[in-house]
Amino acid sequence: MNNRLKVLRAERNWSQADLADALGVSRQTVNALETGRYDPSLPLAFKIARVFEQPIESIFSE
Amino acid sequence: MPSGKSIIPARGPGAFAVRMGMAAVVGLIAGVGTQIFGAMPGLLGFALTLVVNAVAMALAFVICIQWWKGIDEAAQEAHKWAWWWGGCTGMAAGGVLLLTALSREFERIDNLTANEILAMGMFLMLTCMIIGYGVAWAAWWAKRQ
Repeated sequence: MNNRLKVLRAERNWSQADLADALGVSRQTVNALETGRYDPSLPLAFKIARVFEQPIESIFSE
Repeated sequence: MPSGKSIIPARGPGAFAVRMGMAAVVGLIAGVGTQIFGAMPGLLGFALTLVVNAVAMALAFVICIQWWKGIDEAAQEAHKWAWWWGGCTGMAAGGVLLLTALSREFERIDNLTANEILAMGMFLMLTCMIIGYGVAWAAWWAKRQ
Protein backbone atom coordinates (compact mmCIF):
# COMPACT_ATOMS: atom_id res chain seq x y z
CA MET A 1 0.00 0.00 0.00
CA ASN A 2 1.25 3.49 -0.88
CA ASN A 3 0.77 6.60 1.19
CA ARG A 4 1.47 10.36 1.20
CA LEU A 5 2.58 10.58 4.80
CA LYS A 6 6.05 11.91 4.05
CA VAL A 7 4.69 14.63 1.73
CA LEU A 8 1.95 15.66 4.17
CA ARG A 9 4.43 15.78 7.03
CA ALA A 10 6.90 17.85 4.99
CA GLU A 11 4.15 20.32 4.03
CA ARG A 12 3.64 20.99 7.73
CA ASN A 13 7.36 21.09 8.56
CA TRP A 14 6.89 18.30 11.08
CA SER A 15 9.65 15.93 12.05
CA GLN A 16 9.01 12.22 12.31
CA ALA A 17 9.12 12.66 16.08
CA ASP A 18 6.42 15.39 15.90
CA LEU A 19 4.14 13.12 13.89
CA ALA A 20 4.90 10.20 16.20
CA ASP A 21 3.84 12.32 19.20
CA ALA A 22 0.65 13.39 17.46
CA LEU A 23 -0.23 9.78 16.64
CA GLY A 24 0.92 8.28 19.92
CA VAL A 25 3.38 5.89 18.25
CA SER A 26 7.16 5.60 18.10
CA ARG A 27 9.35 7.40 15.55
CA GLN A 28 10.39 4.00 14.19
CA THR A 29 6.75 3.25 13.48
CA VAL A 30 6.33 6.53 11.58
CA ASN A 31 9.41 5.67 9.55
CA ALA A 32 8.05 2.20 8.76
CA LEU A 33 4.72 3.77 7.71
CA GLU A 34 6.38 6.37 5.48
CA THR A 35 8.49 3.81 3.67
CA GLY A 36 5.30 1.86 2.94
CA ARG A 37 6.72 -1.26 4.56
CA TYR A 38 4.17 -1.30 7.35
CA ASP A 39 0.43 -0.91 6.75
CA PRO A 40 -1.38 0.70 9.68
CA SER A 41 -4.42 -0.79 11.36
CA LEU A 42 -7.78 0.82 10.58
CA PRO A 43 -7.87 2.74 13.91
CA LEU A 44 -4.38 4.14 13.26
CA ALA A 45 -5.30 5.02 9.68
CA PHE A 46 -8.31 6.98 10.97
CA LYS A 47 -6.07 8.72 13.50
CA ILE A 48 -3.64 9.69 10.73
CA ALA A 49 -6.55 11.06 8.72
CA ARG A 50 -7.71 13.13 11.70
CA VAL A 51 -4.21 14.49 12.35
CA PHE A 52 -3.82 15.61 8.72
CA GLU A 53 -7.52 16.61 8.46
CA GLN A 54 -7.92 14.65 5.23
CA PRO A 55 -9.99 11.64 4.20
CA ILE A 56 -8.22 8.29 4.43
CA GLU A 57 -8.47 7.65 0.70
CA SER A 58 -6.52 10.82 -0.05
CA ILE A 59 -3.65 9.62 2.15
CA PHE A 60 -3.54 5.91 1.33
CA SER A 61 -3.83 4.19 -2.04
CA GLU A 62 -3.36 0.67 -3.36
CA MET B 1 3.05 15.17 40.06
CA PRO B 2 -0.64 14.70 39.11
CA SER B 3 -2.39 12.09 41.19
CA GLY B 4 -2.84 8.71 39.53
CA LYS B 5 0.07 9.15 37.12
CA SER B 6 2.55 6.27 37.21
CA ILE B 7 6.22 7.01 37.82
CA ILE B 8 7.06 4.07 35.54
CA PRO B 9 7.52 5.20 31.90
CA ALA B 10 4.78 3.81 29.63
CA ARG B 11 6.91 3.39 26.52
CA GLY B 12 10.43 3.45 25.15
CA PRO B 13 13.66 1.73 26.24
CA GLY B 14 13.20 3.02 29.80
CA ALA B 15 9.81 1.32 30.11
CA PHE B 16 11.27 -1.94 28.82
CA ALA B 17 14.28 -1.76 31.16
CA VAL B 18 12.13 -1.00 34.22
CA ARG B 19 9.77 -3.87 33.48
CA MET B 20 12.62 -6.27 32.78
CA GLY B 21 14.05 -5.25 36.16
CA MET B 22 10.66 -5.83 37.87
CA ALA B 23 10.36 -9.24 36.20
CA ALA B 24 13.91 -10.11 37.30
CA VAL B 25 13.05 -9.23 40.91
CA VAL B 26 9.92 -11.40 40.71
CA GLY B 27 12.01 -14.22 39.23
CA LEU B 28 14.57 -13.84 42.00
CA ILE B 29 11.86 -14.00 44.68
CA ALA B 30 10.40 -17.10 43.00
CA GLY B 31 13.86 -18.71 42.89
CA VAL B 32 14.53 -18.00 46.57
CA GLY B 33 11.01 -19.16 47.47
CA THR B 34 11.49 -22.39 45.51
CA GLN B 35 14.76 -23.06 47.32
CA ILE B 36 13.22 -22.43 50.75
CA PHE B 37 9.87 -24.19 50.27
CA GLY B 38 11.32 -26.91 48.06
CA ALA B 39 13.52 -27.97 50.96
CA MET B 40 10.46 -28.48 53.17
CA PRO B 41 9.38 -32.12 53.29
CA GLY B 42 5.93 -33.41 52.42
CA LEU B 43 2.88 -31.98 50.75
CA LEU B 44 3.15 -28.58 52.44
CA GLY B 45 6.53 -27.88 50.85
CA PHE B 46 5.24 -28.98 47.45
CA ALA B 47 2.10 -26.85 47.80
CA LEU B 48 4.01 -23.74 48.92
CA THR B 49 6.50 -24.15 46.06
CA LEU B 50 3.59 -24.43 43.63
CA VAL B 51 1.92 -21.32 45.09
CA VAL B 52 5.06 -19.16 45.05
CA ASN B 53 5.80 -20.08 41.44
CA ALA B 54 2.18 -19.58 40.35
CA VAL B 55 2.03 -16.15 42.05
CA ALA B 56 5.38 -15.16 40.52
CA MET B 57 4.24 -16.21 37.06
CA ALA B 58 0.98 -14.28 37.47
CA LEU B 59 2.95 -11.17 38.53
CA ALA B 60 5.25 -11.59 35.54
CA PHE B 61 2.17 -11.71 33.30
CA VAL B 62 0.81 -8.51 34.86
CA ILE B 63 4.16 -6.77 34.23
CA CYS B 64 4.20 -8.09 30.66
CA ILE B 65 0.61 -6.95 29.97
CA GLN B 66 1.40 -3.45 31.30
CA TRP B 67 4.41 -3.23 29.01
CA TRP B 68 2.42 -4.63 26.05
CA LYS B 69 -0.25 -1.96 26.46
CA GLY B 70 2.43 0.76 26.41
CA ILE B 71 3.96 -0.13 23.06
CA ASP B 72 2.41 0.85 19.72
CA GLU B 73 0.85 -1.44 17.13
CA ALA B 74 3.96 -1.81 14.94
CA ALA B 75 6.05 -2.80 17.95
CA GLN B 76 3.36 -5.32 18.93
CA GLU B 77 3.29 -6.68 15.39
CA ALA B 78 7.08 -7.09 15.43
CA HIS B 79 6.89 -9.07 18.67
CA LYS B 80 3.98 -11.24 17.46
CA TRP B 81 5.79 -12.00 14.18
CA ALA B 82 9.05 -12.69 16.02
CA TRP B 83 7.34 -14.92 18.58
CA TRP B 84 5.64 -17.02 15.90
CA TRP B 85 8.32 -17.28 13.24
CA GLY B 86 11.47 -16.80 15.31
CA GLY B 87 10.26 -18.74 18.33
CA CYS B 88 8.95 -21.63 16.23
CA THR B 89 12.11 -21.76 14.11
CA GLY B 90 14.21 -21.76 17.26
CA MET B 91 12.03 -24.50 18.76
CA ALA B 92 12.43 -26.55 15.58
CA ALA B 93 16.20 -26.11 15.70
CA GLY B 94 16.23 -27.05 19.39
CA GLY B 95 14.07 -30.08 18.59
CA VAL B 96 16.54 -31.23 15.94
CA LEU B 97 19.40 -30.84 18.43
CA LEU B 98 17.58 -32.74 21.17
CA LEU B 99 16.37 -35.54 18.88
CA THR B 100 19.87 -35.91 17.45
CA ALA B 101 21.28 -35.99 20.97
CA LEU B 102 18.74 -38.66 21.98
CA SER B 103 19.84 -40.88 19.09
CA ARG B 104 23.40 -40.99 20.35
CA GLU B 105 24.79 -43.06 23.18
CA PHE B 106 26.40 -40.67 25.61
CA GLU B 107 28.48 -41.63 28.56
CA ARG B 108 26.56 -41.81 31.78
CA ILE B 109 26.83 -38.60 33.80
CA ASP B 110 26.48 -39.75 37.36
CA ASN B 111 27.00 -36.41 39.04
CA LEU B 112 23.86 -34.89 37.49
CA THR B 113 20.42 -35.38 39.01
CA ALA B 114 17.31 -35.99 36.91
CA ASN B 115 16.15 -32.47 37.85
CA GLU B 116 19.34 -30.97 36.48
CA ILE B 117 19.12 -32.95 33.23
CA LEU B 118 15.47 -31.87 32.83
CA ALA B 119 16.45 -28.25 33.51
CA MET B 120 19.25 -28.47 30.91
CA GLY B 121 16.77 -29.68 28.28
CA MET B 122 14.38 -26.85 29.11
CA PHE B 123 17.20 -24.32 29.08
CA LEU B 124 18.47 -25.55 25.69
CA MET B 125 15.00 -25.26 24.14
CA LEU B 126 14.37 -21.84 25.71
CA THR B 127 17.76 -20.56 24.54
CA CYS B 128 17.08 -21.68 20.95
CA MET B 129 13.64 -20.03 21.02
CA ILE B 130 14.97 -16.75 22.43
CA ILE B 131 17.78 -16.63 19.86
CA GLY B 132 15.25 -17.25 17.06
CA TYR B 133 12.94 -14.63 18.55
CA GLY B 134 15.70 -12.03 18.77
CA VAL B 135 16.90 -12.61 15.21
CA ALA B 136 13.34 -12.48 13.82
CA TRP B 137 12.52 -9.32 15.80
CA ALA B 138 15.66 -7.56 14.52
CA ALA B 139 14.94 -8.74 10.95
CA TRP B 140 11.35 -7.40 11.12
CA TRP B 141 12.56 -3.91 12.05
CA ALA B 142 15.56 -3.97 9.71
CA LYS B 143 13.21 -4.70 6.80
CA ARG B 144 11.14 -1.64 7.67
CA GLN B 145 13.87 0.97 8.06
